[in-house]
Amino acid sequence: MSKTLEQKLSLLMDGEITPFETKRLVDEIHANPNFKSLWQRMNKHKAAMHGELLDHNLDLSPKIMSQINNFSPKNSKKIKIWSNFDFFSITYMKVCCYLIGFFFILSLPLLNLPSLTSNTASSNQNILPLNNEALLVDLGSNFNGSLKDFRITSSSSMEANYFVPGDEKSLRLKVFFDNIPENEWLGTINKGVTVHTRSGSTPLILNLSSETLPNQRLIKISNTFLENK
Amino acid sequence: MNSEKSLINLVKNGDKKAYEVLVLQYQDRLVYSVYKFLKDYELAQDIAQEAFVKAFKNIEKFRGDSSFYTWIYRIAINTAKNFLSSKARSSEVYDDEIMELKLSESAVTTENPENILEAEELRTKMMEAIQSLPDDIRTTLSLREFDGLSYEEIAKVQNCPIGTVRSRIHKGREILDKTFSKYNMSNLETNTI
Repeated sequence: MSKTLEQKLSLLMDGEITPFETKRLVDEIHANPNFKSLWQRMNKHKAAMHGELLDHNLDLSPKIMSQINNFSPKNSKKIKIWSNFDFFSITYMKVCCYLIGFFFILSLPLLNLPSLTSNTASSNQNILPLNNEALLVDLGSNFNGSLKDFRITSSSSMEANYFVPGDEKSLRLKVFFDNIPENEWLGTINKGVTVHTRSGSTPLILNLSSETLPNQRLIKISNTFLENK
Repeated sequence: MNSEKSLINLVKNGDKKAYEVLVLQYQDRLVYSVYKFLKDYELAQDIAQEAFVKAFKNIEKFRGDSSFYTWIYRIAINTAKNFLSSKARSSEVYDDEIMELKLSESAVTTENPENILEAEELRTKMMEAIQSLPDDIRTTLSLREFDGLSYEEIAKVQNCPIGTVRSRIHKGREILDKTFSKYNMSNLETNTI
C-alpha cells in the first residue's frame, strides 16, 4: 500500500479531499482488502478516542451490503417524485394546464401570429417533389444504401444519411435541384464528390461525403449515378 | 472540500461501494449511540443495521442540510422508538417521556457486556498512545480530533503550511494504528488461550 494512498484515507476521514479523489479512493477501498481494513481500523481508533467504540471486532457492513444489494436508489427516484403529489395536486395541475392552453388559443388573434393556413400556403410554393423520401430511397438504391434519415435544407435542396451495407459505413448525400443558383450549392459543399445527374426528367446535383468511407469508394458510388443517368 | 457530500452524490448515482465506505465510517458510532438509548448491545446492532438500510433506501431524501451522521442518527433513534412502542403495545405502556429520558442518558450503565469493558480498556490505551505522541503531532491531531478544526484552521493556528498539517495528522494516525493493531493481536491471543 502506498504512503500517499494511506494519507489520502486520512484526508477522506477529515473531509479534506476532492470529489475526483473520493471516487478513486472508494474504488480502491472496494478493490483492495488491506486498504479496506485500514479504513475500518482508522475509523475504529477515531471511535475509540471519542469513547464511542463498544466492540473493536464489530462489522455490520457485510449484512447491510447484502440487504441493499438488490435495491437501486435511482429506480425509486422517479416513483418517489410523483408520490410527493397527492391526488388533488395532480388534478389542480391538470386544470391549470387546460386553462393555460385554452387562453393561449383565444389570444392567438390578438397576438397576430401567422396562422396555420398561411404556413400551408408557403409550403405549397416549395418546388421539391412531394415524394422526397421516395426520391431519396430511389437514389439510395443505386448503391444499395438504406436511408436512415433526411431533412429539407432549403426550398431546392435536401440532405440524407444512408447506411451502406457492404462497407458497414454511413454516407451523406446532399441533393440540389436544378433551379438552385450555382453559388448557393457550391457554398454548402466543402468535401466529398459532386456529380450532375438526372432523376427521370429532373436534373439533379448530388454531393456524396462520408466521415468513414474512403474517397475512392465515394467516386465508385458516384459513378453509379452517372451510369444510370 | 466536502468528501462526505461527494460520497453521498456517488451513492445517489447508484454507487453502492461508496455506501459501504460510509457504513465502515459510521457503524461504531451509530451502534454506540443506539446502545446508549436501548442499553441492549445485540438490539443496538440490529437497529443500527436497519437504520443503514433505511437510509440507503431513502438517500434521495437526504438534502445535505445536516451531516450524514446526524441524519442516520435520527433514523436509528426513530427506529429504536418504534421498536420500543411496538414492544410496549404487547407488554406495558411506554410513554414518550420515558423514551426521551432514555435518549438523554449519556453514561454507559453497569449492564456493560464483556466486550464493552474491553472497549473501555482500548480507549485508555488509545489515550495513552496519544499522550506519548511527539508534541507537534499530538497537538495537531488533538486540534483535529477533539477541537474539530479544519486543516486550514490548524495551519493558521500552528503557523505552518497545510501540507505539514496533513502529514502530521497522518503520522499520528499511523502510530495510533500500530497501538490499535497491537491491542487487537494481544486480545486475540488471550481469547485463543
